[in-house]
Amino acid sequence: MSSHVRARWGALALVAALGFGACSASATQAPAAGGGGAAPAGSAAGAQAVDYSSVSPSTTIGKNDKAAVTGAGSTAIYPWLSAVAQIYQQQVAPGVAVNYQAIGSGGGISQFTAKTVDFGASDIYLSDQQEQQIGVPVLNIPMIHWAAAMTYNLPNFSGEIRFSPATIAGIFLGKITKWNDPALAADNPGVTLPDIGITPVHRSDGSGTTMNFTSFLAGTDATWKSQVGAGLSVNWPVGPGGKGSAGVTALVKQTPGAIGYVELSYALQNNLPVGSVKNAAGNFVKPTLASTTDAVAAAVPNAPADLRFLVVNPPASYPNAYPIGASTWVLLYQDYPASKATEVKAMIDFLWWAIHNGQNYAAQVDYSAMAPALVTKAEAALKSVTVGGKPVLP
Amino acid sequence: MSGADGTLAGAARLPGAGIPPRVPGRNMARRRTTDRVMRALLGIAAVIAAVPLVLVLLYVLVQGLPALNLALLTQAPVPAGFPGGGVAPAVVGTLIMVGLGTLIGTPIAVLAGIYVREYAGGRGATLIRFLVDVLAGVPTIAIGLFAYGLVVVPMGSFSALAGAVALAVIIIPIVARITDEMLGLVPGSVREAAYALGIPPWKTIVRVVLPAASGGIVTGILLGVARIAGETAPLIFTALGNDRVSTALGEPMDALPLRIWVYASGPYDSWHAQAWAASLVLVFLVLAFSLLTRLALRRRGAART
Amino acid sequence: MTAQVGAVRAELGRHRPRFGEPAFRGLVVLASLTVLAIIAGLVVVIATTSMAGIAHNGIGFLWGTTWDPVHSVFGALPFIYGTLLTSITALILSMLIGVGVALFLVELAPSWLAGPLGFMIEMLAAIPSVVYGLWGIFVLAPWLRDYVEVPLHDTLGWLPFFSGYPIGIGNLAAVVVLTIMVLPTVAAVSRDVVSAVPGSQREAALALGATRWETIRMGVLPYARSGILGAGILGLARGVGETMAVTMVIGNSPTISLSFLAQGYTMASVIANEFTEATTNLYRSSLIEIGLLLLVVTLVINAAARLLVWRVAYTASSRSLAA
Repeated sequence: MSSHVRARWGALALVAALGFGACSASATQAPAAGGGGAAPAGSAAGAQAVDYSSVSPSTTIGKNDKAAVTGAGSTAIYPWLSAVAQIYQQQVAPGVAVNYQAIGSGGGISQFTAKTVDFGASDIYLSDQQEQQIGVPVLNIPMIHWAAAMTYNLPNFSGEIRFSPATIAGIFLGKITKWNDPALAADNPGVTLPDIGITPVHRSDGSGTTMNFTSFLAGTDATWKSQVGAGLSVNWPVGPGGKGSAGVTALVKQTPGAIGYVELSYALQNNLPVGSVKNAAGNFVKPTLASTTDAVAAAVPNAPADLRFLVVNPPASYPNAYPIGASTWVLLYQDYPASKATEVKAMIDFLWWAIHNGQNYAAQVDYSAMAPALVTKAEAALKSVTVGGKPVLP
Repeated sequence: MSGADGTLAGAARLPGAGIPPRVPGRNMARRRTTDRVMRALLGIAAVIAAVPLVLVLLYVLVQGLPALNLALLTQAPVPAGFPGGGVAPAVVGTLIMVGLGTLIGTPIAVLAGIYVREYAGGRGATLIRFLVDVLAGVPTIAIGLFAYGLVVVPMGSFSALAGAVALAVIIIPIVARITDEMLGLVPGSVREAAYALGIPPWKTIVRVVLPAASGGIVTGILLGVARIAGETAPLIFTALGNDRVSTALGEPMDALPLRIWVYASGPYDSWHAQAWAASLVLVFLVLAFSLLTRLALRRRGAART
Repeated sequence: MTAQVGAVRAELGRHRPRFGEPAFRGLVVLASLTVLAIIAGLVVVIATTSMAGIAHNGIGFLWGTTWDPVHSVFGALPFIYGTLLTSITALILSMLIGVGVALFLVELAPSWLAGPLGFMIEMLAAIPSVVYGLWGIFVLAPWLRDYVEVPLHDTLGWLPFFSGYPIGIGNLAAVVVLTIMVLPTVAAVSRDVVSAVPGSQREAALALGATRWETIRMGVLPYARSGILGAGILGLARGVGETMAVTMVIGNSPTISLSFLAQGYTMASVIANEFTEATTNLYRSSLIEIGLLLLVVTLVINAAARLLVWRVAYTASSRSLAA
């Protein structure tokens, strides 16, 4: 627990330091240095941090912006997005207030479709059908990667639990009801599992985490595929539902014997254990920055031009990749009305900063930064946004 | 009501006194036992009913007090999982939306109350009273759906205005009913005196009757304010919530009950602490308002006789 | 004399524009019509926004057991069931306690006790729902799990009502929270109804040598019966429509289970949880359809209860307004 708590405090100290008059030059340096020092012990990938200042020479692009930007969606991205939004306001653009409501990816897509927000955020890209429903051209811009961790609550149990996909499917289908079930015992040879009931906790709201998690199960377990399938919200056979990543984490934390799937930082920030999951290569892999980055590495080369791709079930050629990786996309309209010019410029400037400097904060809150190749594609997408037909960025 | 057991005093004065009193027989002991047991059970019911209030208040106080400080009320929320921060956007939002909701709802409610008591005939009064009562029983979540369809969809965005409209709908029946009752307490002679002077009914109401009932009506409004200040369900898809202090009526806005819901459902200890502290603030406000108004109402001998 | 009166009239008339009376009358009528318009608007707005759902789901919506937004299969039965299970159980409990409290306050308690106690129960209604939810999550649910559900499960687990794994969050927690929240309504209305029973009823019974309980049972209760029934129906309406506290403790699982240890979902709580997250128009529309169902049910229940209570004690309804 202590290492994560320290990481949190370290990041906070950083926020505070940046808030109190750090100049922009030191600001671009500080995160990398601070990130290295404060990175959680469990996340060795901190060392792989890319120096994004070389990718992005301009850090003060939006310093004169003054607007309130409204976004809604993914709860998985919330810890990172809320942190970078606050740092951005303190460090770069005091006039820009990003109001992000973490209501779930489903909600993000729905509000974005209803055009009630400036941007949406979703842990799953928009489907063709969803894009069609919106009626105007839209962009899916990846922001950050993360791992959907299997987190659980076993009182007086300090070991680490390993899960094969079939076991996870069995638990969430209600077929495995005890922690000492033979299937779990087979995954965990030599571990004395407690004799208490399993309570599988799922998301009650539309969720990209659910989409990634169920896509992973549908891709590995035939029963799951035929009985439940994959989606933002599915017809759960058993177990209580929590609202948002926070709600699932809270339920797991409060319920002995519970297991749930959440974005990694929710588990780590709340001192909950996370299990390893068996990947295509047959290895049990813990969700870490390194194993997530590996999963992303497997997916990025195949990322299409429209940036719609999944990072679940990486092939066996990536033996250390965590099998339930995920990304969060920011959803933008290709063209905004001219009346929104101020907000849109502030928003695009912020997102530009977020895909560059903002990536430096990823490791501190247990996310994986985007690969440089993907950042370049995201840049191109951001540059294509227009207001009244005119590009926002030069 | 005097005497514990069946006393026969005054029996002669009662109708049916011709029936000879039953002589306590052999089963009197059993009857007395039954009586004691049942009375004890009724007493226990009363104790059971009072326990939850004590428990809830106790927990809110004990859990909320340590996290209650100035920062809680003056600072915006910090990113999830970080320590510190506060619920300032929720405090501001609750003040604005409850204020606006009261401003929208109260005039309608008071005027409707006046109609029922002063203008409507027997049937009209009964109908409007009935409608007011029915409106009071509509689930607040349905009122939220109504405000969503009425305000959010046409405006194209979640807004404080939509939240205020939902709260206004909730306060209307509360204030309308109390206005009706308070006007009923103003003696008819006051009106007659005014009419005798040739003052027309509407002026009598505005200048004479309404001022006489104003104390009661104001306490009724406060009671309504206390009620809507604690509402969550109608704000979920109208006001939506906001991490930043916002005063724009066309933008999403935070509210204390919404913030408590989000924080209570989350995993962070800092959120839980702030949810308890925010609850303490809310409960204090709501109870203080209710307490004052009910005491005031009771003094007027109004709803209670 | 007549001249003087005429002068006074004239004097008063100067301050009285002719249109004053009709204008004010129009204003108050308009306000009353607004109340009517709101109720009509509630039904119309909610009905029209749920049209897409009604068209897609058909009548089978009412007994469909599957709630599967991914495949656009929307059945409301799990929510209807959850609502009925929790609110009816809570109603029974709160009727037992609430009528007991009402009788105690009116018939037995000395006034120094009746006043404060009645006041406390009224305050129970003033506490916001979300605060009950907060208390439910962190205090009630863990306590229920450790001291009620585990023993129940261990001893009576073979009964379908107590099967499943006890985790605190679930139907039982929802029932307890709802009981607390319905209680003030039932107690307040019952108290008014019992108070309205004429003293002669009691005196007559006492005169016949009845004990205090016999007086209540034979003199008071029969007289107050329909009013207490009304109190119960009002309580039911409150329980059915209650949202936040239930949402926070029931576990949000659209399954139909007899077990009080299982997790459930109610009509109000599925709307609260899923509305802002609904991904498609059809999904949102189906949620609003549940809202329409909830609205119609509560309107009918309320109307019935008001009519019953009105017959007995008109002023009673004012108290329950604050509830």
